[in-house]
Amino acid sequence: MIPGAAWPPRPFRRPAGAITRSWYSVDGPTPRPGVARNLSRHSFSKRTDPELTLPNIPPQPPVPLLRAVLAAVLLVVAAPGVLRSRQLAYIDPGSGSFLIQIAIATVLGGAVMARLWFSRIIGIFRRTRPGDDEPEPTDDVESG
Amino acid sequence: MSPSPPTTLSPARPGTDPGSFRDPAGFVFRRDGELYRQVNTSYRPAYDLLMGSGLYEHLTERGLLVRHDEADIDLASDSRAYKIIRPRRVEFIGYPFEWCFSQLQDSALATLDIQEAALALGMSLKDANAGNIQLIDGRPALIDTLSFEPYEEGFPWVAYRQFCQHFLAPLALMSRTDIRLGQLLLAILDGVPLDLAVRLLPFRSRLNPGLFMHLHLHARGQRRHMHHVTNRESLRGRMNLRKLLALIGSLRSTVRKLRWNPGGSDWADYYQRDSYTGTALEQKKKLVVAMLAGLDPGPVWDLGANTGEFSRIALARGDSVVSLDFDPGAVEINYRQMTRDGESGLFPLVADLTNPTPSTGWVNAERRSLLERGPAQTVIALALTHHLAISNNVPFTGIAAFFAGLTRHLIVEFVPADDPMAARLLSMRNHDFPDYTVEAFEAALSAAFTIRRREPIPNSRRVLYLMENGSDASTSG
Repeated sequence: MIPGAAWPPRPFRRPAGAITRSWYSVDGPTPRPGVARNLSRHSFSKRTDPELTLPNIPPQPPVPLLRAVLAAVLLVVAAPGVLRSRQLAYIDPGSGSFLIQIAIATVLGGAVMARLWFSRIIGIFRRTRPGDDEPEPTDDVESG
Repeated sequence: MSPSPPTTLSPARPGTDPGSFRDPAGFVFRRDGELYRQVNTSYRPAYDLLMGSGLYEHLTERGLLVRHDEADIDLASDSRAYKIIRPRRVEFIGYPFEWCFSQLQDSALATLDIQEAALALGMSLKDANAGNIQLIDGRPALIDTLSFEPYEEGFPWVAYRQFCQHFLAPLALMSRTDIRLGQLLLAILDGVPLDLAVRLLPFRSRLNPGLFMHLHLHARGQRRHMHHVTNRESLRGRMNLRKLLALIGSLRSTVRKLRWNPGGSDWADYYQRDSYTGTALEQKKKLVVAMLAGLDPGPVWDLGANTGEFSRIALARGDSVVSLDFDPGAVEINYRQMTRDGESGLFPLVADLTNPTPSTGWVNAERRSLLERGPAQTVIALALTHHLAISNNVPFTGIAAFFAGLTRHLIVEFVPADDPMAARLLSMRNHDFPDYTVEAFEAALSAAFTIRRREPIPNSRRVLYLMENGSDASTSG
C-alpha cells in the first residue's frame, strides 16, 4: 500500500477533459486527444451522476480466447441442468458437484448417443456395399 | 504436555479399528488377532443385494474386491449386528500418498471398473476413497465390502466429487505439475480440494477435455453453488444410466491418458544409483541370498529398496516384502516391473525414513504411522546407513535403536568413508565425521543386536552383516 494513502480508496474522479482509457471505449469513433467521450451512452448509461464519477477499476486482462470458447460452449450446453437447481430443505456441501455432474453427464451422454447414431448411419451405407460382411455392433461407451 | 493420553480418546469399543467409524453400515474390529467386519442391520438390504445379485462373485473373481467368509454372529460387538464377516487378510496397508503414480492410476481405474460392474448389477459405489483400494495379490482391489448401495435410477453418482478429489486431481497434479504433489494427500485426508488443484495445474490442462470438465468446470460449479441448498429429491430424474455410464467412461479415459515417466521419456535406463562394479553386485546378491537362506524371513521390509532388486530376492523366500524408497521414480519402476511380471506380495512404497509417515486423521488414529504398521520380521538395509548417518546426521546409536524397534533379523550394509558414494556425501559436508568407522558402527549395533555373520563384499570396501535382535539372543537364525 502507498504510505499516506487513504483507505478505503476514494472513487476515481476523472478530471474534466481527460482522455478516456481505451478499455472503456466500447464502440464509436476514436476519441480525439483532449476531448472526453460521453460514456453514458455505453456501459454506464444508467449512471445518474452527470459528472461521470467512475470507480477506480483497474484494466482487466483479456480473457484467453480458447478458454472463453470452451467454457462458453460447455456452460451453454450445460446451463439448463445447472440453472434448474432449486433452493430447498437441507444444506448439502456437495450440491455444486451434483449439479455439475448432471450437466457434464448430460453432455457426455448426448455425445455418446450421437456417436452411436453416427456409427449406425455409417453402418447402413457399409452394409449396402457388395462383398462386405455384417458390421460389428458398436457398444463402445467410452468417450474423452 | 501430559505424559499419558486421556482415556476419552480411545475407541468406544475395545478392539474396534480407530479408523473405522464413519460408515453407519458397519465397522472393522479385531478379536484374538483376527480381523472382522460387523455388518449392521441398517445395511442388510444392501449386503443381501451385494451377495445375491452376483456382484460379489463377479468382483472377487476378477480380483477387484477382497474375499470374505461369514463368521459366527456371536462375535458381534453390539446389538446392531446383522452379520459378522472375516475378510481375507491384507498383508500391508499403504496409503495413497505413499503410492507411486501408476499405483494411484491403477487404483482409480479399478474404482471405475468396480462402479461400472456395480451399475450393471443394480448397485453403486457410495464412496470412492482411495485408501479403500489396496494391493491384493499384486493388484489394486477394494477392501471395504460395505462400500455399495442399491442404485437408484435417476440420481447422480454420490461419490463423483470424492473420485475427483482422491484420484483425478492428484493424478493430474502429479502428471501435469509435479510428481511430489501426490504428498498433498497426506496433508488433506479427503483428497485434494478442486479449487486448489485447478490453481496448481498449468493453464494448458484446460485443453484436455476430461480435465477441463471434471476438474476446472467442476471446481467452478462448486464455487458457484457454494452456498446453494439442494434437496436430494429435486435431483431425481435428472440422471439416467446412460448418462452415468458416459460419465464413468469419460473419467476412465481421462485417467488412463494421464502419464508420468521417471526422468522424462527414456525412463528405461533411468536409475543407476549404486557404485558397484558388476561383479561386486553379483557377490552382494549371493551373500544376501545366503543370509536369507538361513532364517525364516517372515514379513520383510527392504529400506532404501531403489527399484526393488533385492526385494525380489527376499520375495522368493518371504511371504511379503515392503519395498520402500524415497524416490518416486525408483518406486514407479519397481511397481511397473511388479505389474508386468504379475508378482504378488510386493508393496512398493514411497517413504522418507528421515521423516516417515505420521499418524493422521481423527484423534491421530485413522491412518497409522509407517512404524506402527510394522514390525517386520526381517529388515534389509543396503546402501542406507551412510545416508542416515552422513546426510541426516543420525548417530549410529540412533540407527541401532530404529532398527531394534522395527525388526528381528537385520541384513545391513556398512559403507565406509572411503567408498565413492560415502565420500561424495562427506565431501559436501563442512564438518568431519570422526566417528564414522566400521568399529563404531559395530559397537553401536551390538548394543541392540547380535552379529551373526560379517561378510566383506569382494571387490569393494563395504561390509554386509546379518544380525539378530537382542544382544544376548539365544536362538540362531
